[in-house]
Amino acid sequence: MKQLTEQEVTQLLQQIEKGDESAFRMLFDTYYKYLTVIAYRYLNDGEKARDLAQDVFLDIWNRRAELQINYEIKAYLRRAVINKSLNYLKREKRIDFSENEKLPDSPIAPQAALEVEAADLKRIIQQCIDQLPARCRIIFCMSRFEEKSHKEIASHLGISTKTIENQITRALKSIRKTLASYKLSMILLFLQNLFFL
Amino acid sequence: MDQDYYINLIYKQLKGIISDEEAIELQGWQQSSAENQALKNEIYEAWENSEHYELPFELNLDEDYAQLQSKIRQNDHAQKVKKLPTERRNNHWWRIAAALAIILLAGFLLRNFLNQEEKWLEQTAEKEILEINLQDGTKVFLNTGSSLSYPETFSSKERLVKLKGEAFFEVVKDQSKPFRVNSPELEVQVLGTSFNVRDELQNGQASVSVEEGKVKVSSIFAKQTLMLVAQESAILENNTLEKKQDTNLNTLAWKRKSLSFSNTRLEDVIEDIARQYGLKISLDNPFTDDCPFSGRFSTDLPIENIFKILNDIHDIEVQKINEQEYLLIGGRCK
Repeated sequence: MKQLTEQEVTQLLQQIEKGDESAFRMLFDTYYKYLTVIAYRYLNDGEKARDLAQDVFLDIWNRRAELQINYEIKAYLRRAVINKSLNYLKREKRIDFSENEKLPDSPIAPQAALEVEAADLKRIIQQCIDQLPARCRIIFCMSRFEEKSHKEIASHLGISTKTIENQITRALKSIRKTLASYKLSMILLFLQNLFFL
Repeated sequence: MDQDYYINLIYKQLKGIISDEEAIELQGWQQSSAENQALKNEIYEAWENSEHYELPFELNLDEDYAQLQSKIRQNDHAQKVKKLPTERRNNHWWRIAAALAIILLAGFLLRNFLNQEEKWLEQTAEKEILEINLQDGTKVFLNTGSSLSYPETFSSKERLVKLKGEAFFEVVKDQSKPFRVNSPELEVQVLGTSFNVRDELQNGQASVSVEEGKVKVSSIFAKQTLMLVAQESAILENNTLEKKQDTNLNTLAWKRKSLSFSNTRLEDVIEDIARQYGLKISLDNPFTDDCPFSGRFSTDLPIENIFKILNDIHDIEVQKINEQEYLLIGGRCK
């Protein structure tokens, strides 16, 4: 993402207020990916993430005449997309953050990692986090990527800080397990190459 | 201490929120065995590597911008349609069709539950407070954004309902069948009385306030139980249930449709208003000194009118950030 200076942003917003579509496009190009990534971490659904990120821009365009963004645009957009994501999860997916999930502690199949030959680490991690239970993934992502404090997460999701700690511990354990089996598969692969080829 | 406890400490260290005592404890644990040291490194690694959680595909900006443009066009079109009076008839037909569909659906559902024994119903109060009469004569006032599930006919042993959000209950006495309310974090049990239960996702607070009679409240996760009598509240905070005297006049504001204050600190006034209107109101210049406020607002008033009153009395300026968020600036005590 290329960064815009504060001055550029102010100018851009003024132009958008006047209905300048090229300025709007520039704002979109600058922040759209950033917002989609954030939404994706919450939703684990690429299509919906794009949809909600677009809706943030749709709102901006619709309300361009009365737009009053008094603080950093990036923070404003981020908050908008997070609100949309959480609302969507609560309303449509009916995820109840406060209820105890009775799911197996480690939903990840370490076997899968073993089978992947020289798979890149990035994809393995991706899969691992994708497969966490929704509530666990969201809490982890809020802490890891949004730089949110426990208190903020607690008030966003309406859960106790204890639950937050438990869920993050659970996510970390899962990733650790996946990493361990990934390393093991790399060693096996290396040995295979050494002895059988 | 089990492993999870230390993983949590490691996480706190990564986030930089670990306390000095915890840091020392972690240090001791990690030095006590090579295994522990390895675990710590692995958790560090897990945290670092989670950075790779990204979109699993590439975005095409042109394509997505085109999608956005079509949304904008649809939206413009929808607004135009709303404004055109000639289109209204169209709208009318839709309503009739929708009403018919609802009637048909209701009929279908009705037939369905007549065929079943224990049928649970769920009602959600969308925009207005909903008054629900249960089979035993108990009255429930369901606050907006809340939902209640209840059986059409109560079982022979107890009267159980499930609540998400906030509701006020006027329970009909029945010694032989206790009345029980389950919410995500609380369980409330009574024989006959009136009380308010609030257990909301958005702000993470759960509480029970008793207006009349005696109520037993248990927290589901903390496994704690309290007995409450009239004018007492139980509040669940940080997973502990605490008893408090009901000093806030506005616990039932949503049901009374008015907010009352009597020598209340302005800060608390604003908090109650925010809660009542479901808004986020931040103060740029918090009133550190106690500024007492007395008065009564009807909550049927639009929020703008209430802000106007605050502005008249305390010179508070209001900035609208968006539909849900306001910033109050300045203000002084008079």
